[in-house]
Amino acid sequence: MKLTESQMATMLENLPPAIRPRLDRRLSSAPWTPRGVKRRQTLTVIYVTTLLLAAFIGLTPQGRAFAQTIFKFFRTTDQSSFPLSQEDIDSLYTPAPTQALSLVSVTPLPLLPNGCDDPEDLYECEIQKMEKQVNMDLKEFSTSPSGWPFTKVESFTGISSGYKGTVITISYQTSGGGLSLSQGLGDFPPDQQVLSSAVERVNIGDYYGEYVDGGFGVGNGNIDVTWSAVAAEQRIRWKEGERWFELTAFSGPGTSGYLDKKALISLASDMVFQPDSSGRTTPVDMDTIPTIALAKRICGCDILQPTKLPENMSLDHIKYDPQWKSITVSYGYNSLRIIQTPHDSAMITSLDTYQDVEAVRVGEAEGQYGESPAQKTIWDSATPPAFPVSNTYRVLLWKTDTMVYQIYFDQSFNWGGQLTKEQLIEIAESLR
Amino acid sequence: MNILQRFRQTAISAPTAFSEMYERNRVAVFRYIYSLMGGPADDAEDLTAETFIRAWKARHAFEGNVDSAIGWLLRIAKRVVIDNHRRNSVRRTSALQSDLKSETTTEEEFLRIQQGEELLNLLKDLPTEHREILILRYVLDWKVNQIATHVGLSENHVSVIIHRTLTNLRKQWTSSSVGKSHETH
Repeated sequence: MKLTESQMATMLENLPPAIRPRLDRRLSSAPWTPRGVKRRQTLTVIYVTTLLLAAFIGLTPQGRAFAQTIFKFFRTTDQSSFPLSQEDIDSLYTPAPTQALSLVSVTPLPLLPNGCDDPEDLYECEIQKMEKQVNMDLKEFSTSPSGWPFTKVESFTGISSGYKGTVITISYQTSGGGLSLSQGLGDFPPDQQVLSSAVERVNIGDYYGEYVDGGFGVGNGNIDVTWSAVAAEQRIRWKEGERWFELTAFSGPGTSGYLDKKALISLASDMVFQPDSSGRTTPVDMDTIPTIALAKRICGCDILQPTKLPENMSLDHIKYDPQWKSITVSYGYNSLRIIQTPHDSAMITSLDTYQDVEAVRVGEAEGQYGESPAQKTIWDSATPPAFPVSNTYRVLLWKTDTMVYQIYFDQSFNWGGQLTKEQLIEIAESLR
Repeated sequence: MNILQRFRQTAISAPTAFSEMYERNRVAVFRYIYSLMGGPADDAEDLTAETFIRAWKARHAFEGNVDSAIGWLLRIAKRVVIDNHRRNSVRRTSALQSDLKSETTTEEEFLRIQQGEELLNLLKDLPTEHREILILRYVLDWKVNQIATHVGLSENHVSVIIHRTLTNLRKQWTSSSVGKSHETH
């Protein structure tokens, strides 16, 4: 059958089926529908809010500080005091045994550790070495902290089973205390708790930080651990991106180089990655000279070092007294001190004032050995059960044509362990 | 589209205006797509939805008023159909048969389905431009002058194309199996 034009037109007109509700259902949430408009408005509000928040956090110091308030840099507790366990009490208050110490041969320290040959450049040299070792550009104080001589930079890894990071610590020391700047990547290393109410929020430059003044400790004779706000310990922790920092100051008001909260924050805020070393001065504390080389440079004299020392005892620091021109080399946290003084300026040239003195020979030289009468120390001056130390110390003195030498061994500093007269003489004869 | 165009106000940029345009043109767009692609209805509805979504995204570039939006929409729809054709070059099912349930189909309905399917096949064999003009004329019931404006040809040229295409289509229909079958009824 042939179709007319009109019939064909009608067939074409009727070709598509009627539109079904499926299309409207499918587009029921399309952007132009009321539902779509509402959703778009909600998304716009979220987007704009996120954008503004990101701008606030990214562009303003307050924002960055706010963003980091969700972190807690210190482990905190609300308890200001808690009892010691019996094990801790026993450990703390039982006197250490006074076992005999054994001597071992040691190599005298090089003039400067590991190739830093100029005492004046000790800081830069040691920092550069550490940066190579840990493959990290360390952030440092822009200038030397006033009154704080640099002593050393160290790195620590595996400080606990749960902490895999590396801690790098730059240390400064005076006779009045210590100042250390630690840094690392990732999480803060585990640390003792602090009292939550003692944590103050501070701004370190553009970053949020936390400041704590005080610490937990055991008062003399106490069996409780108590928070003390006057513990002469101030700490600031903050983070700059992935890197954490901790600045710790152990020093009390009135002591040499004391830094208060404001000064510490200022010190932390002015840190840089590449300090200008041209204007850097290296202050030296005569009571805590860090290296043999620097001490030699200061005193203009030779300094003898022992080649025999009690096991596990190492150089602590060197002290120079310009008035008597005497050099004191301290080992083992001050328990063993070797004092070297020119004969013509020595104040002490004999031990005659001691009660029990005997003549001895140190090599070819004549000498004296004595023991001081027992003295009370802070450890046994409080009410029981304070640490019952009988603080005697042993002295060996001998002379050459030009020098007077003394070796002091103080048991109380060593917390156990004793050296005999013969061992002191052996140490004296090992001086090179 | 540059960043400034994104904020340009047009006759359909507001959701309410666009919604009105959708209501006014959705059937025409669906019929156009269905005829152009040859069904099935499900696919034609999907492409209709896609056409309006694309139109929404491009609404700030639209020139004209709501009344003239259909031409713009059909250009988008044609692009959508071409894109879809490239994606699915093989038809899976017969267009019309998939739109009706066979168990409820009467003999008369079955014949109508066959006729429709044959007509779609014949349309598919036409040159694209001729097919589109025929669809615009008879499926969407456009006037010749509207078609001429839309495809950019003279009215006379469009009239000639319509006449020749329709004549050709009628001849093919007569010689097709469905046409012959229809003749026997």
